[in-house]
Amino acid sequence: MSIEKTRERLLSFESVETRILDHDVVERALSSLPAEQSHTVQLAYFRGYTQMEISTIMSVPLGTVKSRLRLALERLRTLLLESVV
Amino acid sequence: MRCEELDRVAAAYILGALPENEIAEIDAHLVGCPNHSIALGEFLQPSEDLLQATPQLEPPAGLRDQIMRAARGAPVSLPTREAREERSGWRAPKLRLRLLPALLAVALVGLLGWNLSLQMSQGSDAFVRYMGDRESVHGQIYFVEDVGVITLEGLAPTPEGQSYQAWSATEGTWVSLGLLDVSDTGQGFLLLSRHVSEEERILVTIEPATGSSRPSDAVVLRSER
Repeated sequence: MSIEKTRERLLSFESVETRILDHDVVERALSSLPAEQSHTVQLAYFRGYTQMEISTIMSVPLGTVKSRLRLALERLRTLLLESVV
Repeated sequence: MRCEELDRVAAAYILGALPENEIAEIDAHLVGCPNHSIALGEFLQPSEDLLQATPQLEPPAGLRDQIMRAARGAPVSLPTREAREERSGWRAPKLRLRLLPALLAVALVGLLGWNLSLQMSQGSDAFVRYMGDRESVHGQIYFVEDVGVITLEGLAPTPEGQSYQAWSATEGTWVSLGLLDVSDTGQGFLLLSRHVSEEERILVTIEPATGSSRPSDAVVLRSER
C-alpha cells in the first residue's frame, strides 16, 4: 500500500505531528472543499481508485484529477492546521 | 522520474491513487531527492488526518470475523464458496481490503451514495437497493464492484438457537446468502460472498442457528424486484 510506504519513508524526513483530530473536524474540512475536489479525494482515498480510473469515472481529463487532488490536499492542510491552533 | 513530474502527481502519490509501477518510480526518485521528500511531507499530515473522516460506527463483532475470513479467502457462510461457484458459474473474487473502509462507510451510513450514482452512470456493477418499509424490517443491499453487503434494521431478537438467514433467487430456487450478524439494536449485517444482481429477489427468514438449506415459512422480509 502506497500510504504505508510513503509514511515510512517520509517520517524519516518530516516530523509529522502526532495528533488525533476529531472526526467531525476532519469531516467538516472535507465537506467544505468544492464538491468536485471532495469527490475526487474520496474516490482516491476511501475507494482506492487510481487517478486514471477517477478520470474515467468522473469524465474529466487526467490533468484535472491531478490538480483537484493537489488543490484539495493543500486546502485540507490549511483547514486542519487552523483547527489545531 | 523528474522532479517536475513528481510535483504533478505528489498528491496522488500521497493518497495512494497511482498504479504500483509509478509508485515504485517515485520511491526510487525519493531515495536521491530528500528535498522532495520534505515537500511531500506537507501532504502527509492531511492524508493522515483523513483517516479520521472514516465513519466511527462500530460494526458487530461477527461482521469483523466475516471480513477477516473473507480476506483470507475462506468461505464466509453457508453454503461453501466452492459450492456456490460450481453451481452459479460465477467466480467469487478475493475481497479487496482497500475497498473495505469505503464499503463499511456505505453499509453503515450511506455516505458514498453519490459514488454509487457515479458508478451506475458509467455502467459498472454497482447498485443500492432499498428493501422493506419503515414500519417493519427494512434495509438495503449494496453492491459495489465485487463486494456486497446487506444491512437491515428493525430485527427482533431471534429465539434461542435460531438466526436470521438471507436468500436470493433469480429463477425459482432460493440460494442461501448466509446468516446475518445481528446487533443488540436490531441491526443486521451480512457480507456477501457471491455476486448478487439488482434483479434478484431477496428473502430473509428465521432458521436454526447453523443455517438451513432451504428457507422456512418464518419470513421476516421479502423483496421482489
